[in-house]
Amino acid sequence: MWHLYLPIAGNSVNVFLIFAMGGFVGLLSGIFGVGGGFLMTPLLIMIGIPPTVAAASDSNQIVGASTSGTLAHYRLGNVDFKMGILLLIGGVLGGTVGVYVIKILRHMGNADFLIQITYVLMLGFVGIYMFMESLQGLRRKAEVEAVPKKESGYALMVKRLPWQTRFERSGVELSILMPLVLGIFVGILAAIMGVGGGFIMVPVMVYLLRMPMHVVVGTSLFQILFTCVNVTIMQANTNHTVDFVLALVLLIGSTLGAQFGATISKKLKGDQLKIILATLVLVVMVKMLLGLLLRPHVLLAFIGGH
Amino acid sequence: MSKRLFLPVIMVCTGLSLMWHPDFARAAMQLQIRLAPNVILMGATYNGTRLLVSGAIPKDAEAFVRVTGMPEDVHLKKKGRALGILWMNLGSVGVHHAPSVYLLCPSKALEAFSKTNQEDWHRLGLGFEALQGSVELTPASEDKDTLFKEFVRLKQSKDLYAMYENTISYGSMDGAMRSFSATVWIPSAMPQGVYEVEVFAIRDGAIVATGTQEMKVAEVGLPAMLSSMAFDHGTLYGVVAVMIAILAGLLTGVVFKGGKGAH
Repeated sequence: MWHLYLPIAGNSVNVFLIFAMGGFVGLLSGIFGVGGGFLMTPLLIMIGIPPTVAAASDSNQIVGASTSGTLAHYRLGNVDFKMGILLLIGGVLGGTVGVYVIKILRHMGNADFLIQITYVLMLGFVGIYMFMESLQGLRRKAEVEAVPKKESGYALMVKRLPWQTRFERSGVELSILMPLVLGIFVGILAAIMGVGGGFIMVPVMVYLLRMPMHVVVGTSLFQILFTCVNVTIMQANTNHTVDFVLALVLLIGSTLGAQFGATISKKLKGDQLKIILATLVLVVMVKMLLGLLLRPHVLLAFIGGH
Repeated sequence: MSKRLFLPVIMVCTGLSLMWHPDFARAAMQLQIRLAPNVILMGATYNGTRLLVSGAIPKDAEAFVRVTGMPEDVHLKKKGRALGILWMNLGSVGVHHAPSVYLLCPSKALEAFSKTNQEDWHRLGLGFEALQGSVELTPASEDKDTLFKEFVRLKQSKDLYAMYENTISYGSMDGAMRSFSATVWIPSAMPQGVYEVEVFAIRDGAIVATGTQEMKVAEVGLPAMLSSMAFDHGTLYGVVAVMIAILAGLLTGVVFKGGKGAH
């Protein structure tokens, strides 16, 4: 009773457990604008889904959650379509480059080693930076509002770039090159690390594109939607690893979760969102680090997954 | 060749070839066994099932039931230490000719025997360790003892290799025979295919009788439909999966807005 057999995963699962997992990850997705693959894939592997099927079915699920989340954030006026599309174009280009980079790395050997170390270092750096910065932000609010910021070298350099244009929703003026180039950068990293990239994209939009946190969340979800549509169809086509039964139960949970998440996101201040996300990033970093430091239970594993 | 010689030569050859056949050499007697069910159907709510194996063995022997899958080749990631402290994937290893599934049900007495008389037990060739001889690793330079043990542990973690205890019960005696029945747990992760179910009657550390039956595991209904679509029409399957996901997302959004409007 209450179990469903998953034909592609080749295993059965408890419906309520999957629904609850979808709901929880959808909630995070709606609050922070991340896909949640970093959390969902390991959870699915833990309950006996093969790694490749877990990753592919999760991207199918994220399509549902991010549609729901994007819609909710769009209603709140939090989606910058212009910025999102430019980042997306960059992301697709970067993803293609990334696939070649990983081939070269694999050829050179030691690819897994480089990737995991880079991942842990980057999560650590991003997490700590975000945490400190938002902590300062929260303290500053308590004292004086709106201290005039000194223009940094970075800001001056950004202003000199050609093709400046205004991004209405985000309230920033930037060169078109900025989101394109950063999109490529995130796309390359995401392809190499085999993750959706929400984790890297959110900090990039906050700190390098200087977008307000709430718009970052909505725009990131908009972008993740397209990335995951692409990944799902590609996986279904070439690897046959998308388990639709699994994805459907997950996404019933996650689309609901994303709606609640968007409501919660609205109630939190930008700095509060950032500090919670930073904590989450650091927790994932510590988990990965422990995975590297502790002896695995079994010294062999099936190929695939994150 | 003269006619006088021909007949004895044929007889010796036939005799030798019969003795070479493993079943003939190992077991003097064939057992009749029954499976319930003979075919396991995996429908939409399938969650593994129990397989009942029953029959009769010589009354002074102990029963051992084994379910074996087809030999397969799997490629696995091997974890090891890098820089002395970090555990990570260090290359891959292929495991060849290991059965996909290996479920063992010893009787209580045999289970005790396997622990107290380990050497005799290994000679029977029925445990996990018996597979090690026929399994090959690539690259062949790998440490087979360690990796084979890890391979068995990986399979055990999915319940695809298992030793079930206390699953055999004996029934009434009938002349020189006594009836037995074994309940084997068929895990939901066991893939579609044909499996061999064997019963061994063991007396004084030797196999005295065997019986074999084929068992099928097959997907039916929704799982069968989805599998065939996923593998035969991958792109269409992906597009439909994405479209349903988007519709579900939009629908949830619309329902939520409707809910808010009522406030």
